[in-house]
Amino acid sequence: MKPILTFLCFLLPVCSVFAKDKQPNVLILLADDLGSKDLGCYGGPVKTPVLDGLAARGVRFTDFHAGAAICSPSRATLLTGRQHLRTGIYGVLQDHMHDMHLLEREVTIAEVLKEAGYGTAHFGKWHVGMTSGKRKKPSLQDHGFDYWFGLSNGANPSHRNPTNFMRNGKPVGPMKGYSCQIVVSDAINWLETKANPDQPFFMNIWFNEPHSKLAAPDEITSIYGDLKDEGALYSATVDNTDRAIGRLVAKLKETGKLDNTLIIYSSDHGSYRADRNGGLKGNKGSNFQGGLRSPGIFFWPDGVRGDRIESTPSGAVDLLPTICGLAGIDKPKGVHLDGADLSPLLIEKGTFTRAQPLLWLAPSSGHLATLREGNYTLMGYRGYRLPSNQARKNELLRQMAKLAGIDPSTPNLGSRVSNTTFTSPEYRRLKSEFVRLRTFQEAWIPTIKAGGFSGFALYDLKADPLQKKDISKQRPKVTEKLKKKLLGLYRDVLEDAPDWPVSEKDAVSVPREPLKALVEASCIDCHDADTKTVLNFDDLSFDLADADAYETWEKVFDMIDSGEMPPEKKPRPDPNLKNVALESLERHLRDTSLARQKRAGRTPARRLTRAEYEYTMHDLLGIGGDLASKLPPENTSSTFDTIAADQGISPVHVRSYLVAANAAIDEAIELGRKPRMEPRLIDYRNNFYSSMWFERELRRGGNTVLRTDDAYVLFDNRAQRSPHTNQSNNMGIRFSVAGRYRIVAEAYAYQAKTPVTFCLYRANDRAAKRELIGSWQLDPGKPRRVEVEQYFRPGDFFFVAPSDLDATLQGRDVFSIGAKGYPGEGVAIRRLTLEGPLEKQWPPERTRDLLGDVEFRAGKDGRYAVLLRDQPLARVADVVSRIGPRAFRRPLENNEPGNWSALAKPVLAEGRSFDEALRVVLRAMFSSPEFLYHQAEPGRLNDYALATRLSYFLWKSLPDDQLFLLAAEGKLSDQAIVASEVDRMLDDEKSQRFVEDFLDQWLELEGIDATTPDEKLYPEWDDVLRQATLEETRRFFSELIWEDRGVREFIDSDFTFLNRRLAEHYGIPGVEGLKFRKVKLPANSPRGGLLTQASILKVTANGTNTSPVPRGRFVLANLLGTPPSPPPPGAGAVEPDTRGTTTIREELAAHRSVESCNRCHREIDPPGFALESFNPIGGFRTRYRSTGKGDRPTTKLFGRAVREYRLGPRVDASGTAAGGEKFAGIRDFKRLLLKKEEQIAGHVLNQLIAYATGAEIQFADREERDGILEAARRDGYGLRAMIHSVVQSDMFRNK
Amino acid sequence: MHSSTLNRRTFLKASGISLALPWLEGFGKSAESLPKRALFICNTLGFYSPSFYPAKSGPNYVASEYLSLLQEHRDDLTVFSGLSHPDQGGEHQCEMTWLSAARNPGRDGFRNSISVDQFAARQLGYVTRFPSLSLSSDWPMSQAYTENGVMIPAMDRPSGVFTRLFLQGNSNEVAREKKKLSDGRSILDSLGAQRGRLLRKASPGDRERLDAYFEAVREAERDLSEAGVWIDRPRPKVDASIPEDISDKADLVGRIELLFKLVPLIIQTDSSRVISIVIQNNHGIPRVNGVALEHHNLSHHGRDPEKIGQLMKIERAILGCFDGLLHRMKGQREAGATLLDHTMTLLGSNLGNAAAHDPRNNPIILAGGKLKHGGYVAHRRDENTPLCNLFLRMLQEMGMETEVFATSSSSLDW
Repeated sequence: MKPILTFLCFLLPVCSVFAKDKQPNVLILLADDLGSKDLGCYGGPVKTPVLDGLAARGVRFTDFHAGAAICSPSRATLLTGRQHLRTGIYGVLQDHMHDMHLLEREVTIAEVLKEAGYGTAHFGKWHVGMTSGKRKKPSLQDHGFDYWFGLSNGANPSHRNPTNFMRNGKPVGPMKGYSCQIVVSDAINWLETKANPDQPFFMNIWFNEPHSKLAAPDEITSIYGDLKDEGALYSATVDNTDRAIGRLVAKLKETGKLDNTLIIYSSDHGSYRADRNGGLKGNKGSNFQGGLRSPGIFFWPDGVRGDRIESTPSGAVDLLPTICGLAGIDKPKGVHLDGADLSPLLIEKGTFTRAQPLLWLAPSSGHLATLREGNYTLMGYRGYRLPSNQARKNELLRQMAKLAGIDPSTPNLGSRVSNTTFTSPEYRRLKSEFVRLRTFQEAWIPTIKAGGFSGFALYDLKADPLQKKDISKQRPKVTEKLKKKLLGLYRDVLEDAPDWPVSEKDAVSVPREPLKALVEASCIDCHDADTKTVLNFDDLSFDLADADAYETWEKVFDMIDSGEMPPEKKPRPDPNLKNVALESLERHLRDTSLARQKRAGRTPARRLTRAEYEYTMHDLLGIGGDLASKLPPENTSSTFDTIAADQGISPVHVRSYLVAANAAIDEAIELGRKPRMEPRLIDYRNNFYSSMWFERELRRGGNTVLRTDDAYVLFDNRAQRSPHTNQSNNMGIRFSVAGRYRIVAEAYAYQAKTPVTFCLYRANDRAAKRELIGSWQLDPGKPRRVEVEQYFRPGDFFFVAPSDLDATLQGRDVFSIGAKGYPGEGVAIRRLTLEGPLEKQWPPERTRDLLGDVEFRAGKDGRYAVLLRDQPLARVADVVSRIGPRAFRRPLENNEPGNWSALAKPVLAEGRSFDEALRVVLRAMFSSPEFLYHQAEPGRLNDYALATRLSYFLWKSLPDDQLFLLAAEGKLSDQAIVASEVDRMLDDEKSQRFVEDFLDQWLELEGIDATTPDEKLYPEWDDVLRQATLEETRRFFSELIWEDRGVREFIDSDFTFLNRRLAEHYGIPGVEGLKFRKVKLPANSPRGGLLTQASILKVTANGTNTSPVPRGRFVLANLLGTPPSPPPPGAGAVEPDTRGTTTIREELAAHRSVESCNRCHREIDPPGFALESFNPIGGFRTRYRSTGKGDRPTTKLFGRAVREYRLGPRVDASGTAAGGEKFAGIRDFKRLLLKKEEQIAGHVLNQLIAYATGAEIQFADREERDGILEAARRDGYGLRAMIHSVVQSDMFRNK
Repeated sequence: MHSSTLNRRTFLKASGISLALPWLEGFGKSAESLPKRALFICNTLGFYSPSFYPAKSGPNYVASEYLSLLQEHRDDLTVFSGLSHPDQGGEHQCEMTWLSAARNPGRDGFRNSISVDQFAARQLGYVTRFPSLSLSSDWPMSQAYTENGVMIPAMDRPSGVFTRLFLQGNSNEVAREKKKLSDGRSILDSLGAQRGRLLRKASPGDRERLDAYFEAVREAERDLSEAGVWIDRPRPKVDASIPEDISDKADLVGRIELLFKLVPLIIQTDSSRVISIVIQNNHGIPRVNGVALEHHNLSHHGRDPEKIGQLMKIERAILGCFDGLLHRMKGQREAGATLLDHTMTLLGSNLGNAAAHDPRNNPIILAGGKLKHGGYVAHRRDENTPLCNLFLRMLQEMGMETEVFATSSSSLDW
């Protein structure tokens, strides 16, 4: 069901309940091509006693009109009460040629009635769009019919024994009998067996008769003339239809339903036969009366006083509002209806008014428009040319007429010829060309929209019913008046009319009127072209296909809907005005969003991010080196780099992919000399280079390291910054090949009374990178053997460094005394070995795995050559067929291994080696969009695409064997299997990639190094602490996943994860060692939750300073999901002046006194104030640190008195929240935040959805997302459960 | 044949080479035939404007404190105020749009547009070994953006720049590089050939994105094939040795100096005609005498005289580097003119008042390029003139036939 229906549900329940008893059944009967003078009761030649009887007991309209002079448009208007161009229908549909169809967003009579509790069914011809081949169109169910039996267009081969009927979309095969009877039989059957007797019904029966190919029982035809007489046959089909209707009426009577059934009878337009249109000008296809005038019979004994003739001009466009009026149902909200409610005429109560003149449009005909008001019709002639081959059409017509034996001078030859019963192969060939040429082409739409009128003609239908005399010259005033109306209406319709195919454009304009009314009443004063606000309604397009306009309207909707706009001080908008406008806007926003999703999916082809590229290569090739930094940085304008819509692609990327793939393949195909793999001693004590530093004088930079009998001792806490004495490369250790290595160290705390820390770093000067790969606590008197395995690449080195060293009791460090005789703490390294690469054989396993069935032979230079057992090309193809499915995350097609390996041919032809040829192939594969992009068909993801999305969500890499196998077996459509996979993946170590990447982006942790804390003010900040802060947040988040803890813990928790360094930093006693563990927080601790974690306090600080503004922004944007807008132009120029103020708080108070600043800053500042208790590195403070004046701290630093900084002014962390609640500090503030648990959970959910699916929440997702949140609420917003729900959602499982 | 007036283009045409050779001193003497280059230098944290701007505009302005540091170049430069890009804002986000003028950086769904240096580089193509060079004093962030808004990472290691520009590999290395390039081209060629098949296979929603990918492949291939022409050409020899990178990020002056020393080498050898340099300093306290606080922190001085004093010390140091650059550019001659004569050298900032994150009134100095110089041109401070007007003028001076760049309203004249 379309969301619109649920939406209507909201609006309608009251009236549909109270009106239930009286609601009539509704039966619409529509003939095809029947003229206004066919039926007996309209003075026609056909005997139609049943319809005549209905007309006699009902109201017969004499001046009734079809919705258009041609088929599909007329039907679209009938169903919707709207001008058909608005609904997407421009001309007669050929489903195999057109994307055009009745837009799904349109509200049909069936939808309105279904919503009001009706059972709905359609029978017979449809012709407003049915799926044909690759052209997917909404089904009848999508348009509100519970059941349908019918066909896309005409009955084949004719009305007799048609073969192309379908039931609910499934062909039913050949049928016996005549189309009109078959249709009625099925309708009766539906009534008897399928319709719910407790529900009123709506039956929409659209007959094929009397449209060609004509067929009727001979006994009926013979009543009207010779069996070969086309006119007689035509009449017979109408007669036969009347008989069929008779059976249905009898059935209704028999079941006692007839009198409470509203029966409406009409035709889709005038007849193609000039003799059946009562001599009116024009036939089917003409916007003169002959093409438009149709019967109009309304029958409802229980509700309408019958036996009347009504001459008020009216038409099929009025049916939807009229049915609503008669059944007491509200008209669809927010939809512009072009028709009028005729019920006052029918029930003779109230006054009938027509708000807008009747209008018919035929954009591909010369008679572009007809407007009817009173007795006048104004005809507007087309002022643009369409590229159609008229000469060829005329020629075809002449040839067809000749074949069919029709006099070429017959008026309306086209209609006459195309509707003849004559046929022959030659005729069919000509006709098919003719139809193609005559068919409306979607490519004409821009021309139509740009076009207009060439002239106008006015007719007075009372004086001149046959429209013989144009009186526009004689009645210039009337002409002008009607012209103005016509032009206005025409423009309005065209603005609504979509382009086809919709692939260019997903939506049409949102109706102006309700929005304009609201905007003019409440918004325009501040938001027009002359005001300085960013929003300008004067220039805002109503065209929702315009992405910018869409985005703006979406914001407008949210602002008004949430009540944020108009601002507090302004008067509230009229509720009715607001509701009508918002309902319309919401519907159009959602439908546009939905249409876009249906066409293209939510997520466009998503590119692997830098991190994903690296992980993927690692997993695919068994390598480990840095690849991400070889690729261009990701766009930073969205929260996550996984958001497909914001991912860029450029030649820079393409070239980088070649480089990165090359580096990856270099590592994967290792044919270099066999390295030393056994453990090697790194002998600092006896190394020439380090010896130099033992002996050099202190003032020349030496004598800071010590050689003892058994160890090499480091005393410099800052050794991590200038590590040259301790670098592995200076010790003669080079990493000549990439691989995993093991470093083993034996170390002890030297002269230490408190624990010290031993650190190992990996570094690379070229990449200007250094990374702490391990840190271990050394307790006094307890030597330790520590071990770490790490991936190293050529160019890397490692070094050792101490941390946590206390100074001497006198507060002196090694630089003032020298290592010799220094009495303070140090780290002694007794033994250090490096082992690796850790390979069982050489060339390494990853190379053997990749190359497959080959042998290796070492050459004279020690390098290896690959010996093939098969042809090089066959070997390449084998590699491709093994690596391809994993790389592309799907099985390869048969020709793919051959196609890819063909790239090796020219390389081999040059006489280059097999491995060089393979490299070229692999580089191409790894640079191809098949590897780099996640692609999928719109709609449900297939198993492979789902496996890919899942593994890139939780592992940031390709599916493993098990997941791939499940996809291959088609098991991923099973929710339980997917759920168990999610659990398996979350429990796997690789899920840490998700944790890190997600947190890095969501909580901006990737910016932890963006600023360097002032060494003087924050001397305790070092790499060990830095890493601990990140580790805390990652472990905390992982714990929430593992234990399925609620989002509430983000706000406040009674536990966190600490090691000794971080615990000391937080002032929490009793945590020993550098291993992380879960720690219950003391009852009075300000910590707990995310905001008080040092990592977050660090990234939200300015570096040396903190400011409430970035911290407040962080809370609003990343926790509450309400990022403040950047300062408006001009407002940003308020320059802080700190000279006269003592605290940042006063500075901000001054800021908030400016109205334009206050709007945001009253929200931004309070969370920032609450976090003032934390310094830029996340330490708790009651006083600011200062390099200038202040008191001496009494705390110790590195075992000595603090000499770097003083204690300045007191910290005030109190404030008043935007809602007016006061808080004394962070603990109070967290209590306030807890009240916003749902909002925070909602934001976390949004973030997970966006990150996982590669697309932000879209308008059409809101309902599902709200459902997930509601379900999560019952489980206390458990994080693991939310991840499961995200994966099971349509957002995740559809493209 | 009158070799003294031999036009380079004539020569190239005659020799049937469609690409220009690096400019070599002595090859043609006419200064007019020398190409004009553009150098864009951005100091992302701004300049303290009371010390930057003279009190009065015009040719006879009294030099401000900062401008007096550039006193010796007074006749070679023009100072501008009242120039900026419209619709910027958002703290430091305007850093990324300083050369592109894309509107509303940092807002949701923001996408950058082509920067002026890349616009020029695209038009020039591979007339030089590098159509453009982007350098950075700190990390690989640049202000150079492609049409699709993708940043072209800056080179932040002077030694790497030097190697790529001037160090000749041995014949093995050259051969290997050539092979790599030709492999790259054939790979891109094969990927490009899959376009039709993959686009047909792709769903309508993905088609557009894949098409963008293939467009990028096509361009990358063209770049590689043009770059390939340069491989066989010997790299120019310069009278300088490979610079030693400074790993200490606090050594701001040292790091800027290294980049500024590369510039004359690049120009003299005609290795590139478009250079952009970003000076940023987000890592610690710059090692400048008397400075104890972070540069960023100081830029938010809150009118605290102590902080302003320290900030000015940093900015003076940066302008000192710029002074040195101008001296070097004037000290080197080619075809009878100085390097500066043929290099429009722009120094400025994306922030007019960093203390308030105000992206208007960008401080701008334009030197060289044989333009009319010597004055202080003040545009309206309340309603700024688009900075792109100046960019447009520079593009036109480089001989590009364009009437508009980004938000320009007309070509700037003064």
